[in-house]
Amino acid sequence: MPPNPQNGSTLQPLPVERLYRRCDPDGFDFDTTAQVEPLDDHFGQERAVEALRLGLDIRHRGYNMFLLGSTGLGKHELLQDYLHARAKQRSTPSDWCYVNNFEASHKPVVLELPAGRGRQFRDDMTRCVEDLIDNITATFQSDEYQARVQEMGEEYSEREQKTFRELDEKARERGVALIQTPQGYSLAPLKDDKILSPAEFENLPDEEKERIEKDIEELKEELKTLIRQMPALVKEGRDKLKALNREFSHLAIDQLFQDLRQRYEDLPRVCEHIDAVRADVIENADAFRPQQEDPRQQGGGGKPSVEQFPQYQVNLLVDNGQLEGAPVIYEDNPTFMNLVGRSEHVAMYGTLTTNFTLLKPGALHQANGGYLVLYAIKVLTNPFAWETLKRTLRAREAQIQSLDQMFSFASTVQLEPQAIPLNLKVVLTGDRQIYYMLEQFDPEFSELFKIAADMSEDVDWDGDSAASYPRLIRTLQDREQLRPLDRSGVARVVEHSARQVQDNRKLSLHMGRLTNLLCESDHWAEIRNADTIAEQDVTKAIDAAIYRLDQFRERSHEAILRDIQLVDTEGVRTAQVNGLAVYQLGQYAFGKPSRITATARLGSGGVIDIEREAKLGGRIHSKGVMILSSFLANRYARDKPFPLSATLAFEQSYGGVEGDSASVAEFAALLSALSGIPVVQSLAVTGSVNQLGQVQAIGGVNEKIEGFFGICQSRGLTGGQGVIIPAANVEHLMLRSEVLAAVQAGDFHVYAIEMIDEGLELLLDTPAGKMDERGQYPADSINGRVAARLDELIRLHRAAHNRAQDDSDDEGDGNGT
Amino acid sequence: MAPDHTESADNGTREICVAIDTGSVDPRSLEMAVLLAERLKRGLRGLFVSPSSLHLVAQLPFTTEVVKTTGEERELLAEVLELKHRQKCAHIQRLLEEQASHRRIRFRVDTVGEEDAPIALLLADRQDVLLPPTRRRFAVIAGSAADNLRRVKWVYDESEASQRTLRLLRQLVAAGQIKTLYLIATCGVPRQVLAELSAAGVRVCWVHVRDDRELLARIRSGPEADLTLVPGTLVARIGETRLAAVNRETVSPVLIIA
Repeated sequence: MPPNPQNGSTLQPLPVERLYRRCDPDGFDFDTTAQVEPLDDHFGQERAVEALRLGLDIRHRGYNMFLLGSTGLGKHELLQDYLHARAKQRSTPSDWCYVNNFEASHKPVVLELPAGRGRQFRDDMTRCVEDLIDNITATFQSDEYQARVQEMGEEYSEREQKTFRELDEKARERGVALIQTPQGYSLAPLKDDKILSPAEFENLPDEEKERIEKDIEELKEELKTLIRQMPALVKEGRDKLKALNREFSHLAIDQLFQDLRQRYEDLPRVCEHIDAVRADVIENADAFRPQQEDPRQQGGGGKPSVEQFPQYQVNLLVDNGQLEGAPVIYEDNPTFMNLVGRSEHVAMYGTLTTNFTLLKPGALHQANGGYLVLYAIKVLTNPFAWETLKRTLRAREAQIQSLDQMFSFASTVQLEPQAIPLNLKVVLTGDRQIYYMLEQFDPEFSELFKIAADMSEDVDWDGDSAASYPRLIRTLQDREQLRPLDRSGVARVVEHSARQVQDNRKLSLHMGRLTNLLCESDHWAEIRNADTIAEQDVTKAIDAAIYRLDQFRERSHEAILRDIQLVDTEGVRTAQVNGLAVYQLGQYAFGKPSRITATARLGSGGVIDIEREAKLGGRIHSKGVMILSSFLANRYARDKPFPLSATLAFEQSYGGVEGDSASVAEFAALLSALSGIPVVQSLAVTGSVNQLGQVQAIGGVNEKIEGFFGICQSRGLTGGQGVIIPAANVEHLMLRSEVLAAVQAGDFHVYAIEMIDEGLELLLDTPAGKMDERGQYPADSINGRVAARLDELIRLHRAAHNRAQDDSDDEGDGNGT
Repeated sequence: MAPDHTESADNGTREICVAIDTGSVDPRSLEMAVLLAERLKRGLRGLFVSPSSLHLVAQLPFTTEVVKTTGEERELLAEVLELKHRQKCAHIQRLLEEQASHRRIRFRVDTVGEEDAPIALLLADRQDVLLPPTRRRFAVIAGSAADNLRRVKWVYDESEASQRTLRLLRQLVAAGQIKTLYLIATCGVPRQVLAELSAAGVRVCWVHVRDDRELLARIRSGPEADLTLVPGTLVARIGETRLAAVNRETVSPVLIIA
């Protein structure tokens, strides 16, 4: 039974029709969603789509985009559709290659080639090196070359030998032999073509010995002079050999490079590189000739391999050969290196080294000429990624640089590759909070991301959307390969969609949750071997999803049912009101009643929020308490003192309280404490009150009603139980079927109030009382009893003040007598 | 061209003797000796020639050495010469042993004095003698010895040694070596020899010379060869000194067939 209207309120509970907006399956002109057309546009996202179109069309600097919206709204799908469609219309961007810089190998050169020709160029260069090895080997093994070398060798050998032969002959004429030693030459006296032994030499006459020694000294000087001339001769020979090698190298390679050059004559920079390779090959032709084989190793023949000539390779950094249109790159892990690329290192002789072939592309390179999609939160949380992205977009060129190079972490060999010009659109995706934070705190953000594409979270539930929603379901059904939904199933999905957004005038556009619901409903339909998804499958899916996450609510309600947490649902109690709290656990929320108590006594401290004092109350809650305190003083003590000290507390609340949705309950508890009128415990209340006594909307109204209903139902519905909510929240009501059934049966009630007095009359089961022309409230009304109690407090306060004054005067008189 | 097996009976005991002058030999050139021993199925005997005359020079009171690379003058000490000789012998021996072991051929070394190992004596003992080149090539030829045994100069006469040389040539051709043969002779060459070699795919260039002087000139100059094969009879005719002089002026080893 609702509270007795004779004593208190005349307010009627809401009829069951206002507690839930039904979607009429008979309103659909199809039997199953198989009969409706899928949506070809993004339902309800016109604003975001228009922004995206603008961002994609504008070619000016800084028109990168930020796609805002909560997770699961379908940002990825939206981008996929629009970016891929746009990408197909655009021309395929160039291939990019890094090649060796023969002037400075630590500064690799970048080459741009039309799409597909990068791979061709790389393969051509590999084949060219293979051909060089064969050609040069054959050329240098040719009889012609060998003959020329021998001829040259004989010439220089003859010149060298002739020089020493002449000296040898001259020495012999003077009785001295020129003898070869392991490391040079020596001179020794001869007699009869035989070298004199030390004893024979000693036996020579002194004059003879002196002459020989003198001759040897003179010849030795000549020998030294000759030997010192030898390096020049050797150098001359070496130079001539080099010239010969160059001549034969030209023969071996000129035709190869001429052919190669012809293939790329339309690309001047590629031709420049080919010329540089040719010049380097001629200078280093020896490297292409077979090397001395280690006889202990089998096979090989000492012929060099292509891998031995990395300097002539082409590092195909970006290969767009297989691409049709512009690239669309999604970088899920936008680390610094994954964005700008990296230079890998290999260990060689105990140290780390690198070269241009070890340069690897980043997402910016791969998306060049197209679109790059990044998750904003991941860019922001990866060290240096955000700053690097901004710097790159500002500079409009991608520079492969390593972190250790930037910060000198390690002194390994580093490269300074030529930067690649960038022409791409970056699309960041993320939720609104990130977008607005960037807007507020990063001045560069708005310069670089000028287009915000804001996705809608919901859409009005009207005729158009009701007609489009089945088509949306059909789109998702096709995408996920699901059974079609019959009309009852669609209606249930629509109703649940409204419940998802806590608004019976809106439908959710959260594609992720909707897809999950459809997939899970399809599962239940499969279990019962049905061809279509019906209402029962959708309901089963919803209930199962709730059940999976409902354990915490069960435990919480169990504590109330076992009287561990004290919540009364029957009878009356002074200064004690059932407030309602909502707990949000990720995507799951549930409501729970909570006891709010108040005390009021003579004093001057106003209303003290115990939660705030204990630092368990949030700022919004404190604001609510201050507002009700102000409202209280304004209503009852506008022209007189307010000698009150009151306290408010959420009993058994240990985890903190936030929000102002309990301010109606707190006000009721306070007035009960002041008036002494007990509060009906079969009711719970939620709503915030402003300074004018108006009751304002709160969040989580469905969960709060269901929370109190759950406790009452478990204890047994008495017929008088119910929940008081702000009238503004009525259009948010989408209550569960068991609540609706209880209301329908008259076992539970939901009251909607606009003014605080309506709630007070229900809760205190007493008329609030209106102020008459004399400014007085009826004595038996709530307001009258509160006013009377405040007058009494004022009187007590004055009496206490006068006593204190008298005591003070007495002390003064005493002193004088 | 089928390999000739008439010599196989004494191949097991016959050796190629390599006279190694540690003062002038390029260790890399010895690879050819090992390859030949393998291809011809011979043992290999290294004869380290002790530089006794150089020791004699070192004992003279005023003797110094002018270093080839710098032109500096320094003392020439007998002990230092001996030490260096021993070190070089050990190095060359190790190198030869490794290569011989790899190619599975018998190998032994001896040390002899300059006057103890005349070629004639070895030839008389039916030992073939290999004289490694003392001159280095003007340009380094890359590749293994097997890769570089393609062009051979063959001094032909009508001796039994030349017949034996032909048999060795057959073995080398059968082993896949020798693409070009410069046949130098003062006499006529049997047509069937030329035909046989040509049929085996060898490009034969027959160079007719009038006398031994011209013959030696042809060995020294003309197309560069990887190996020169001479019959022992030539040594008997021209003397070891002249042959040694030719050896000093060529870049290819000379194999004297007994």
